Formats: sequence, C-alpha cells, structure tokens
Amino acid sequence: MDDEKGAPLDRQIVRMPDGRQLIYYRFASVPPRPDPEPPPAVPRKRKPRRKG
Amino acid sequence: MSELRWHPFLEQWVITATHRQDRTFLPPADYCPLCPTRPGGFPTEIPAPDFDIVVFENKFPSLQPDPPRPAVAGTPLSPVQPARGICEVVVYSPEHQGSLGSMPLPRIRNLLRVWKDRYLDLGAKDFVKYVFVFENRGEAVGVTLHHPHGQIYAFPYVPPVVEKELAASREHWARSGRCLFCDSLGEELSDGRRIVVEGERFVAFVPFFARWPYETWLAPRRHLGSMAEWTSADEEDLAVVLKGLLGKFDALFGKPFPYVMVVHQAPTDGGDHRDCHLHFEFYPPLRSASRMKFLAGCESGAGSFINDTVAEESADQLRRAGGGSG
Repeated sequence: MDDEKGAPLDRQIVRMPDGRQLIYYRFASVPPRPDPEPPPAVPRKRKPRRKG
Repeated sequence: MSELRWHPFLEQWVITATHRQDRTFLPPADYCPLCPTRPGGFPTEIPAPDFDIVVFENKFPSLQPDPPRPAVAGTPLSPVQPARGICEVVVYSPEHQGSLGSMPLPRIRNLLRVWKDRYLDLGAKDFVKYVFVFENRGEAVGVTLHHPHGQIYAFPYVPPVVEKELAASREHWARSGRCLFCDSLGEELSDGRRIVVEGERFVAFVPFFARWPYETWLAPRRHLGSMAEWTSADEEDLAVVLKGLLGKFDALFGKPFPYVMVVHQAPTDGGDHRDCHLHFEFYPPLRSASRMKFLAGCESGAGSFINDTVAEESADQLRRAGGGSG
C-alpha cells in the first residue's frame, strides 16, 4: 500500500513456525508531499459477503 | 476452548478463550517475548532485529482466522458460534523500555501509518466487520508484558459499545442531517473549559459527560470516519497532540499513568457509516495519585458510572500538568 507521502510502506510478511503471520514494518525518512484526494472512508472488501 | 456465546439479556456476544489462561505473565526483562531475538538469547516472538514496528498474530488469541468448532452446543436462546476473527499484537519499538508517549514524534507518526495499514488490510477481509485498535498501559489495567505495544482485534461483529454509539449517531444524523460528534465537539470547543491539548487538526478534551476521573477523548476537528481518511498532514498533527496528551498524563502524578486507549471508527461491514466520527477514548483507572477508580456495583451491575470528579477540574489539572506540547 502506498501512503500519501509517496513512499510505499516497507512491509515484510513472514510466517512463524506455528503458522501465525508476522509483519516487519521498516521506514525510511522521506520528504512529505502535499496530500492527494482523500481515499475511501472504509476499505473495500476483497471478497463478496457470504449470505446466512 | 474458544467460542462466541450469545448473552440473550444484553444481546451481545461473549468470547470464551480458556487457552488465554496460559499466556505469558509479567516475565523478567531478559525474557520479554516482544523484544527482538538476541544472538545466543532465547527465541522471542520476533526473530529479526532490524525493524521499526512489528505486527503479529497473538499467540493467545481471543479470535482466530480458523477457529476451532465450539466445544459446547448452543441453545435456542443462547446460540454459539466459532470465535472467528484476528487478534494482532503491535510492537511499537525494538526497545524494551519506554512508552507510546515517550517515543519520538517520527516513530509515533510511523505507528499511525501502521494502524492505518492494518485497518485497511484487516477491514478488507470478508469476515471482519470491525477493526478495533487499542492499548492497555500499566499493570493497573491488566498489562502482562511491559514492552511498549498495543493490540488490534478484528471482530466478526460490531462490538456493543461501538454499536450503541453508532446508533445514537445515526439517529442524530437522521434527525438533523448533522454528525453528532461534530456537534458535540463544537460545544466543547465553544465552551473551552474541558480542552486539554489543541492541535491544528486534532484536539484532546475531557468530555462533558466523562465517566472516569481523567477520561479524555482525542478527535479530528473535521469529520473523518476512519483512519483510512486521514492524510499525512493529519498524521503529523495527531502525533503531536497524542504525544502531548500522554506527556500530560505522565506528568499529572509524576509517574507512569495507566490507561486504556481505544479507537472508535467506521465499521468495515460494508454499511453506510457516514455519521461515524473517528476518535480516541482514554480511560485512566486512577482517581488520584494513589487511588483507583473501580468498576464496582453501580458501574458493573447497573451500568451507571459515578464520577468522583468533574470534567472541568480534571481538564484544568491536565492542562496545567507539564510534559505536554499542547
């Protein structure tokens, strides 16, 4: 995912031996840039909702 | 055993999670599971040392992506469901010492970016209806690990406190066409006596109706529904106001100030939540430097809070406390 600063979030996703997800976030100093248009208020679902 | 059991009188789910009885409890600093694994040291939850912030699924989760089948059968009045969801731990720093309020502003800004990322990522999953970001700070509120960290629960339902808040907001919106929170915040800003820290975009205040002696809310001045809407400029200002508030908390009694911090924001259930206004709520359990506010009979059994202080005086004390930048 890119943020408004134009720098992608540096995410390293790994799986622990027991299967749990772990995400390392690493940040570099980047100069801010003006905000773009606001994104959607809530995330879009990747899958259709199930019935019932 | 882990499942959701329906409480037919309060009309809400109760999460049972018996495996959490075995979770790590106040280990010595040398055996902190949230520190990065040191060469030759015992293996912690975090194998690599080169990170700024880490998020991982809780080893003792209340909710799981692939939960076990309920161990009991429900009844017509009290149905049972698998405890499906995700519980994440957010480790704010590789450093064992410190707290959210003592972290430098760039690290707090980075944490805000991580929270936003988790809101978007978790909220996009079909079974996640609400992304609940929170932090418990201090043994007084049940913290079992001192390493600076918070948590995120991705719920399969909108939690009851949030649901009640949203219902009031919906009703106000339907009646007036306006945001309840925007109107309430407008009253706070007009009055001014309960404001604690003011930023250009965010403001922290003890709400008129505070239930806890030093209950404090922090919110954007403009109408933002969720973290997904906040911009880098919002993050800059929020970090300053958040740090300013937490500095005042610690300065108030000259010692680390325990609190529960929660974020209320738009559910991710696909519904229309234009009336939702993102905000943080802090519930500190202290009513003085050495005395606790307990949720006793009236609060626990009747659901009616008794506050031994008034919001105007608490806000004045916090404003006068040092440590803040606001």
